[in-house]
Amino acid sequence: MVFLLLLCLTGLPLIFSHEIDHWLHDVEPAPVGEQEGRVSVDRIVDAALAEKPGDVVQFLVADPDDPRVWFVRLGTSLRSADMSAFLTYDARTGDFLYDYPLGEGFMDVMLRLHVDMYAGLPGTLFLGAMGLLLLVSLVSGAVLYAPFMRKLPFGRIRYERSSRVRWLDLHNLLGIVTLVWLFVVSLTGVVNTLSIPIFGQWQATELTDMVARHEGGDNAQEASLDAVLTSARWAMPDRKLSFLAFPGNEFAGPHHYVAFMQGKTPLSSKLLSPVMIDAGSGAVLETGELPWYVSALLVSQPLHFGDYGGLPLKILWALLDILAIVVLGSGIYLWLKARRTGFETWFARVGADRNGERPASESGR
Amino acid sequence: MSARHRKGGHLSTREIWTVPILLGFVTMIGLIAALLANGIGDWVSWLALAIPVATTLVCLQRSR
Repeated sequence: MVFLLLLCLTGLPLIFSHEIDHWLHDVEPAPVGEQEGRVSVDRIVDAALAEKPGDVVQFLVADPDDPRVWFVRLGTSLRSADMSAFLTYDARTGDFLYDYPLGEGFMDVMLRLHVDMYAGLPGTLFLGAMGLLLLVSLVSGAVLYAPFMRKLPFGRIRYERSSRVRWLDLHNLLGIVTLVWLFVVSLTGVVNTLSIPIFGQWQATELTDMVARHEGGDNAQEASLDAVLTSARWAMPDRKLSFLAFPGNEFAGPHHYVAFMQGKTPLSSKLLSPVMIDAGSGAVLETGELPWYVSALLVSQPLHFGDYGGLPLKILWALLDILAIVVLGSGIYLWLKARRTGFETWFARVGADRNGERPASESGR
Repeated sequence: MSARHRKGGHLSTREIWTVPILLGFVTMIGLIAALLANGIGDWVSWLALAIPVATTLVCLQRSR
């Protein structure tokens, strides 16, 4: 319960992370007149490598909402899951715009607490298990709703009664109102916690097969990035680049780029199709689709973040999140009341838990 | 808000679940609309997801 409260509280600022980022550090590329041109991507990547000597480029990333910028993601090694820098460049002039600060600041703390509590994949999977518990408690809460509402019209709060009754009515009202939203956000959150295993499965099976079909041909020559991007666009003309994985990266082959292309409609823009491109010749080797389990993950992301309907949707997401916080808070309160234990005994239990002794029951509602 | 409860009668299962099911349905529409279409889809989502929030406020106000 406490972990779920943590998830709701840290999730609240994260809904607006894009806006807060823009507000904290003005990354808006300066509009240079009506200029529409695109500078060579090779030049941008070279500039990024010069910015961070010794590092390698893992991904070239497009901004889905702003074609005027490129992001270059660098790492200390190609296969490293962590990035060492995330640089923003003006796609029209090649000007360096911004070095995204990594692993610092308020939003980063919120993100880490929300995603893995600074415990890496085990932390993420643990929070996923907490999300599963929330799904179970939502079902049990919905089952308990009817017996409590036998004599009460929808939405009535008995302010005149004891505080327990008042909180119970509030819990029931907010709980039933947010039920479907919270269920969807929890479910998609649980799916998101599995993103590393999900992509790992794709890498171990379909990507490995794809690479195996195009082995050999160790061309010493290097195709230019512009040629690679042109190939990707030619292979899927009705899609645009989401990100490009560089050869040697876990999302690409040893001598193959993989361009991940997104659609242009709201739903298809969330889905990705890989295009494998020969790093030597720049020719398209193979196009494909991602399997259903990766697509499920990709569709889960917007449904968890609430970032697919502009600022009004984010505000509604925040309001529903606040209601959910009250549901969880009142749930904890009612649970404590039902157990006829005061906060003092409860805190004593928590203290005992910290000292290594586990209380008899802790994951209850 | 049926008047029957004031006479002490129990609400039927149907009376209990009508509003919650409608709200659940509206929420689902709100979650999906913006995913399927821009513009009109966004507006449908905003209106649909505003309904549960507005319902909460109305109920809290009415109970006072």
